[in-house]
Amino acid sequence: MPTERELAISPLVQESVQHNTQVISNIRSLTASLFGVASGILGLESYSGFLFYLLGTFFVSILIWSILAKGKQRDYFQGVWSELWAGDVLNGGMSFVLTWTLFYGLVRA
Amino acid sequence: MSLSSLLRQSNAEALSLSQQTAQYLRKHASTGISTIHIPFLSYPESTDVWLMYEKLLLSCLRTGDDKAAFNCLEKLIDRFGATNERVMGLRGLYQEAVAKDDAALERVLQEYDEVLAEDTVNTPVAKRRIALLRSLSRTTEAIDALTELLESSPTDIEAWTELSDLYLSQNLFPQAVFCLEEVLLVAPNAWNIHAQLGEVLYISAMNGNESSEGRSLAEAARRFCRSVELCDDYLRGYYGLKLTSDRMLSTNPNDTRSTGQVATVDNGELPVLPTAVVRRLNEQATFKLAEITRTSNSSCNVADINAAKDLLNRSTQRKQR
Amino acid sequence: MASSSSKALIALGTILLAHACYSAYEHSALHLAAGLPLDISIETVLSVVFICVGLVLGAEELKPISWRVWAGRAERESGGGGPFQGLEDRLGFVDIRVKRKDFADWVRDQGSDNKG
Repeated sequence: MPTERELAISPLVQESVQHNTQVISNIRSLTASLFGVASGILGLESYSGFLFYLLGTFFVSILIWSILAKGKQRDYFQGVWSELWAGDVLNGGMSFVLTWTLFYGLVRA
Repeated sequence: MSLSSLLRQSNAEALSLSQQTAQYLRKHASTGISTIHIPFLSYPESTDVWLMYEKLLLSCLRTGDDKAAFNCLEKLIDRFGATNERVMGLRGLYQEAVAKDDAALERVLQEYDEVLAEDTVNTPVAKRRIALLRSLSRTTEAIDALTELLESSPTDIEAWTELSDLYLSQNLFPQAVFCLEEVLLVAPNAWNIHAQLGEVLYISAMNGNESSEGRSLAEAARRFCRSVELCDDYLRGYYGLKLTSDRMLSTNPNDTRSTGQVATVDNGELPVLPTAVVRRLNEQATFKLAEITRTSNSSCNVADINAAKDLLNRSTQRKQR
Repeated sequence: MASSSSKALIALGTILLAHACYSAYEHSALHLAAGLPLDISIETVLSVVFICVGLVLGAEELKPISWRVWAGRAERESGGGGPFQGLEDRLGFVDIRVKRKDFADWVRDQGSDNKG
């Protein structure tokens, strides 16, 4: 994190920070439910399901990094690790589990 | 397009906007008349409509289409009432625009005075009054009124900038500088104000006495540096930096102090910049100006680009001589 | 362009996913004990990849968070100038009579240009 002095010299645009966080969290919540649907159809159980979710999240992170941030992650994110690579993993996990169990039950009724 | 960019648009754009007025008025003939809001039947009222009316009013006044302007104004009065402060300001603007001679303008001015006597904190009308005083070249009165306005609302940065401009027109440079510094207290990241402050300091250095010239120039260079630090490829900032550093190099070209003395001195005043630093700034500004003029596309301001090219040509000619 | 291709990808992915879902349901209704066939698994994973790429392509562009980059971009936009341009235009203090005169002069210039 930059210090207060660095922030005074080259300030951040709060509006852009909020916009970027919003865009990322939109993508994250949509894809998390999607992974739930997929792992429900595939009939994954316990650890393999969570592993599938983590792999999928990593894949989406790479997509965001290459397509949206064009490889220049420092230009768009303050804390690169927490906002781009690991952001919203826990929140997304909730919706993942929800759709996972739902579709697992639907397909194998 | 925001409301403020209206003033920078070209005459042709203003004309095309004002030609849309009649159509717009017809299309929105029903809005604002019904005061009862019926859910699902009437559209929710949006502020865009009223901002558009304000925009059309200004363009129509500019293009001299007074009738359409009056229609817009009437719409606004119908909606917000004749006692709304903003509407009162716009009404004054309309009256100023259609006034035929100085006597009519005096009457408008009197009207402003009457309004302000009743309601001293009516900012839009107070601003109109100041603008009218300035337009009638009664600058000292305008300055007095503006300082009074600023006493009651010291964070109005628009007013501070206007006051600085007024002081500048009277060649009162220290006051103009102070006003812009006041703006920067409220908006410390406003890169264009940093550049403007640099410009005022540069002008004051060119017109002031010899003793303070060096310090003013150094301060101007610092302001220009900050403006380009806050905004990538800022043509105005680099232009000012180039002008200022050129001047500094030509006034004392053989300063022998080393670069080690840049640190702040204890009495709070910043030291004069060492020549080596100035030379490097000058090189950087020249490089950047050349780059910007080379890569600029048609959307940029052509006049600015040409001025920058002129400056570069002049300085290379001087070097060759 | 990006938005149309993203919409196409999302639509394709959704159809594939729905098909895979239905296939898996039918399969489990017929052969209770057997695992999922390979083609349905591949279809599912492929549809997820399509939808993900489509979503990211169709997302709004990110904005630069550094003030310097953001301001430079605002300055170069046509008609832009950023949030502080209003301080130089000063709409509240506009001298409308000068503006009118400017415009009248401009119209006259245009007229004489056309004639000459």
